Order: sequence, then structure tokens, then C-alpha cells
Amino acid sequence: MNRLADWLDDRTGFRRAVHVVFFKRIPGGARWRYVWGTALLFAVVVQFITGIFLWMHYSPSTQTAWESVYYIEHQMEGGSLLRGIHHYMSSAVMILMAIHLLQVVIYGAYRAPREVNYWIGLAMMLVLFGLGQTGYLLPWDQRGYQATKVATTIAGVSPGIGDQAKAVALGGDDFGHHTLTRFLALHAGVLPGILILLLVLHAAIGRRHGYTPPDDADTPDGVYWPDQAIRDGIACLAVLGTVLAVWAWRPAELGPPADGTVEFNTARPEWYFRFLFQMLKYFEGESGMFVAAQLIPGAVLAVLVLMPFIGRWQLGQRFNVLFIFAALAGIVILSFISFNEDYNQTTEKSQHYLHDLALANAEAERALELAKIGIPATGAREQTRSDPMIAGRRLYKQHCASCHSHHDPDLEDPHAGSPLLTVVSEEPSAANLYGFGSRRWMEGMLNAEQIAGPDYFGHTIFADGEMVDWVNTTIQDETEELPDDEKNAFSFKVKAAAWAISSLAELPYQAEADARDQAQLEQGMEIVINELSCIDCHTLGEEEVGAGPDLTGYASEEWLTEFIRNPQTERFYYSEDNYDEVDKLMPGFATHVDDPKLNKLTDKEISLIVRWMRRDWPTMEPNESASGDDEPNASDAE
Amino acid sequence: MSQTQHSSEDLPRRSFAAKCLAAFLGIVAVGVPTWSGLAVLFDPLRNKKNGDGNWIRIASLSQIPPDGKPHVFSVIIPEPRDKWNLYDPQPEKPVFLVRDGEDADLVALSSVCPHLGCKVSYKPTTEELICPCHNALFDKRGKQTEGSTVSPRDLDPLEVEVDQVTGDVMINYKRFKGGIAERVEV
Repeated sequence: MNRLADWLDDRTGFRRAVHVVFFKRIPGGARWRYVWGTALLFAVVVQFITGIFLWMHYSPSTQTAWESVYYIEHQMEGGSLLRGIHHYMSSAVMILMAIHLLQVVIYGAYRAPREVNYWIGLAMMLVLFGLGQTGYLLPWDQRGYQATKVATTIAGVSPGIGDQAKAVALGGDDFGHHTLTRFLALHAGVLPGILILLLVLHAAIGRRHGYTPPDDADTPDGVYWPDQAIRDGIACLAVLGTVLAVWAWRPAELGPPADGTVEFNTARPEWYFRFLFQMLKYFEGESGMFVAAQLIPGAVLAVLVLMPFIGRWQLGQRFNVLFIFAALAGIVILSFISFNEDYNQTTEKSQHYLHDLALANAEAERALELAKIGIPATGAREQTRSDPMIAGRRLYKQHCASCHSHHDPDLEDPHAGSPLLTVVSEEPSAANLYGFGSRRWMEGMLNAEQIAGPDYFGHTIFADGEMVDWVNTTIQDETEELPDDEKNAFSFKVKAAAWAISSLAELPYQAEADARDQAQLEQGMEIVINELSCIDCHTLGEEEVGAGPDLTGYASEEWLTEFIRNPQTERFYYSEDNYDEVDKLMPGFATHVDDPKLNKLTDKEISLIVRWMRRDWPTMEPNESASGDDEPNASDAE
Repeated sequence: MSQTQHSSEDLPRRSFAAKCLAAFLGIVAVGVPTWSGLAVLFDPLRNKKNGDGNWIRIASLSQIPPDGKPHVFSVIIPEPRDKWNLYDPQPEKPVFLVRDGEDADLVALSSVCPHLGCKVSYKPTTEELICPCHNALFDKRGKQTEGSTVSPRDLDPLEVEVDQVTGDVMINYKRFKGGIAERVEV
């Protein structure tokens, strides 16, 4: 063994190289304040290691990027840990880099003869920023996508070369396949390559200069191994431990799949770029953008570059220290303001942000559920666009919410319900359609207090209509006239009638209850027909009568679809009572049977809205394993 | 250490324990991230498919002429998956079905050559199954023809079942490891 080592040493001189590293002189002996450079190097090395493994499983295209990251995060054993380390270690890199830089400036370590190495360090800082920026896009989720859109738009307005620079970065005029291939090549190839080169130079030159000793060092010198190595090792483990703890508390997020065509109000850059994001708010217009995003950061960088020269000047060193602290304080304050604007919970803006954030998280969770069922070849974006739960809600918000809210009426705060089931209209002028056709809904319809209230006909012309009148007289007044012991029995009958009509909707989420209560529903239908005589005004089944909307299959898929297509028909709202008030009725969204181009909504869009209102969407079978299961199951291959 | 003129020479040697501790710290710090990467890398070894079969309907009995010759039938996987993707039904490598007579048992053969995985085809003139890659020859029942020694084993038979009521022909679609004499499912 020794002879082999001798042979190898003779030809490579490795002993000398090892010796130089391990027995480097430590001026003044081992110290804790020497650990930061090593900790930063460690964090960068971890990024190289984890990055390579992530790279092996990442697929850069608009139809596979989010999907492959989803697969790493949620299907591969150890994937969440691997991605979590890489994600949070990038934050650690930024923090350690700031500490390292701060230390260099405070101790004046940029002064002769260390200027060149200091500049190399600054260059590495820019490369690390670039790695952070490019890496943020790669998961191709809404957050990274929208935030990068902002960043590239800023780059696009750079004086002179903006458009060209942007087109080259994106691989075209807009985001697409080549944006991802280019960003991946930058993130995993070009920038790490430059970083390694600079790192080697930085380390080699650093070795030549050694540690910067404190001015008051009076302790004897030491060597690196093992005293300083132990301190470095503990520091590195502390960094890793912190990253692991954060990961355990909150695994790296994966937002909903990128979709530039839908509303997404929570686009934010990664936290270490928050100060830039905030600064943009204070500078308006085209010139403002240049000042905030390029001029000011550029000026700060220029001062950093010039520090070795400034430091020569008498008060220069003090200026430098003051400057770096001022810059840091500016970053901290701007970041604080930015986070506070989003999370203070008291301003209207913050509340909007938090609602939007809850929605984004709910959409992300739903996208994951869909992905576990299996993503079609067209990708997760297409899958969310044809999912009733996500796309149905978006379409409802876009086309229905100017009149109809959709939120749980039992909750005091309309926003408190499940975000994917909640759309709050700013100024509702029609019913709140939450749970339309459900038992709860029908009970309210037959309740004098509710039917004329804001969740039903309160805002519409029907507030003074025959249905409200009928509920007031037939149900309300009749109940009051009854002796106390019969009141309960009568209200029970009304409830049975409401449930019977509700069963006509055949709502998926009531299917179990409907099947269970078969007998009561039949009795309820008796009451509907014979006791309450709903059929005096409403058509039900074969018997066509009256002016009221058709109750046949009320709130069923077919009924709702036809209603949205055109409610102003004899079957629904159009009757002799309101011939002169047609403009106050709900408009039709697909009235042109012969020329579908003219319709406001396509059949597919109507279907998505209807299925959303009926909560009729694919779900994961509880016993279905997510991978490698060839049994036929509820698939979503639309 | 003794060879250097370094100032470290004059310092007291640190204890063996301190060195061990330093080495341990370093190994753990780099080891944990590496381990997480290796765990993901070796994920395919852990998530092997369970082998309780993959029964697929490929034909009706009446579609297979009872002439003792191999007939090709395509295999359509109803819900093929590849990692995150769930595809629409996709064709897989086809199989040969051989039926000697109306009442004879049905034989199903994989069309994958057990030598190195090329797709064999039926040559009616010599009534043989031939592999285009290295000229392995098999008879109509998949047995390697005498004189041909290229393939390490005969063509791989597949389990086949006929539904007596509907006449549906079901096969248990499998893949086997190539290049070895033993028949091992993969």
C-alpha cells in the first residue's frame, strides 16, 4: 500500500497537494470566524451533487417539465428530500454568500494583495444570482413561470439590446420549449462551468494569500487539520441541519402547472430577490423600471467593485463598511415591507393576496391529484384546463361571477370555504349558486326568509315574483296558522318535498344519500305533486303546465346545460309574466344553435361550468395505487 | 507530517479522536445529500412491478384460422403508463397465435427473439419463424429449428385463455430477459 502510494506520489505529487490543503497555516490558530468561506463552498458543492441527480430525472419541455418535477417530488423515493435540499440550499447559498461578503468588507480583506480574488468573488456572486434566477423557472409552475416573465420583461426594456437579449434568453418571442432547454443548459451547464472555473481560481489565489488574520491576533498559528476542520465540519452540518429542518417543516413547493392564459395573482420572486420586486413599486414607468432594476443594482455593484480602491483612501475603509451595511439594511427593509404587504392580513391588498394564495395552493393540490391519476401526453396544463374543478371554477369566475356568487352561505366570511368551491362576486345581482340543486339549496328555496334573501331571488326581479309570493303564503302563512303540535309535521313535509326535488338533480355528491333515503324521497314526491301542488305552475315529467321553470330533472346536468345555453325559453324563465322584462333575465350563453361560433361559450366550456357546479369531477380511487397499476380505473384521459 | 518544514511541525499533534471527529463531520455533511441523490437514482430497483399478470384481450377465437400456422395479432395495452404519463391505448409488440385444429389448444408465442430482442416474423415459404437480426430460426410452434443455435432458447410461450362463452382470447402479456437459456420474466 505504501509502495503504491510512493509510486503514485512520485508521478503526481499528490502528497504535497493533500498536505497543502490539510496543513494550511491558520494565522492565530483555529477560529470560528474562519468557517464561513468553507460553509459557503460546502453549500455550493451540495448544489452540484443534488443538482446532478435532479438533472438525471428532469425533462425540459413545456409538456414534461412540471410533470417530471412532480414525479421526482411525489413518486420517487427520496425525491422530495433531494429536491428539498437543492431548493433550500440555494437559499443557504445566498445567506452564506452575504455573510462571506460582509466579513470580507468588515475585515478589509479586499485590500492588497487580495483585490483580484475579491473581484473573482464578486463575479461568482453574479453567477450564483444567475443560477438562482434560472433555477426558479425550471419546475415550470405558475410561480416560477410568472415571476420569470416579469424578470425577462425587465430585461426586455434594457436600453438598446433589450428585445434581442430577451429573445435570445427565451429562445423566441415567448416562453416555450426552447426557453426551458436554454434555461436548463444555463442552469446545469454554462453557469456551473463558469462557477467551477472561478471557484478554482478563487481557491488557488486564496491559498496563496491565506486567511486574513485579525489585527489583534496574539495566539500562536495553527494548522487546518484537524482543529479548523472540526469547526468547519460543525458549521457545514449546521447548515445542512437547518436545510433539512426547513424541508421537514415544509417540503419544497410545486405550484400549479404554468399557464400564461389564466389569472394568477401571487407571482412573486424567490425571497432573495424580493427587494428588487419591492423597489420596482417605487419607480414608475419605463425609466423607473430601468432605474430600479438596473441602475441602482448596477451602482451598488460598481461600488462593490471599486471597494479595493476606495479602501486605500483614508476614510475609505469606513465608508465601505458603512456602505455594505446600508445596502444590506436597504435589502432587509425592502424585503420586510414586501412580505408585510402580502402577509399583514389587515389591508385589503393583503387579504386579496392571501385568498389568491389559498386558491393557488388548492389548485396545486388538485393538479397533484390529477397527476396521480395519470397525466395525458398533452401535459398537466392541458389536464388542468379540462378539469371541471380547476377550469370550471375559472370559467364560472370569468363568465358567471359578475352576477352570481358561489360560496358557502353558512360561513360568515364568504372566503373562508374551500378555495376551489368559492367565487365571490363583487356585486352580486343574482343567486348564490353554491350547492345549486342540493337539499340545502332546495330547503332554502322553500323558506320564506331565504328565498327573498340575497342568496336566492333577493337581487332579481323574482324577488316580487310568484314563487316568492307562493312560499310566503302557502308555506309561511300556513305554518303560522297551524296549531303548534302540527307545525313540526308540516315543516317536515316541506323538507321532504325539498329533498325530493333535490334528488332530481342526481348530484354526484348526494348520490349516496339519495340512494339511502329512497323511501322518503318517494313520499316527498307525493307531497310535491299532491299536497304542495308544485305542478300547478311547474312542468314535472309528462304533464306540461304553467309559467314556472321546468322541474323535470331540475338542476341535473342536462337541465343546467340547457338553462345556461338559453334561460329565456318557455321551458325556463320566458313567460307571459315577464315578456316586458326580458332584459332583466339572465342572458343565454349559447343561443345560436346553427352557428356555434356566435355563442359566448362553447359546449365544452358550458360542460365544465356545469360539472363544476355539480361537483362532478374525477377523483383518485381511494384504493388505487399511483404507479404501475394496469387495472382499468376512473381515468381522466380527456 | 514529519517531512515538512511547515510551522505546523512545532505544534502538538492533535489527538486521534479529533481527527476522527473532523473526518466524520465531513463525511456526514457531504454524505447526506449524496445519499438522497443515490436513493432517487436507485428508485427503479425498489419499485419493481408485482408479477400477478397482465391479462389482455387480443382476439376472438373465430379470428384465428385453425391451420397450425402462426398468425400475428397486435397487442393493445389499454392504459400504458410511462412515469408521469398515462397514455391512450397503445400497441405493444405483437404475438403469434397458433391453432392446430378446431378443438386443439391455442398456443401464444411472444414475437420477441430470445436471443437479443429483435422482432421475429413468419416466413410462409419455409414455414418458419425467422429473426432478421442474427438469423435464428424457429418452427411453427416456436421451437428452435435443428441446426440453428443462435438463440439460447426457444421462443417464449405466453399464457393464453379462451372465454368459452364470448370466444374472447386473453393472453398474459409478459416480457422475458434476452440472451440467456433460462426463461426469466422482466
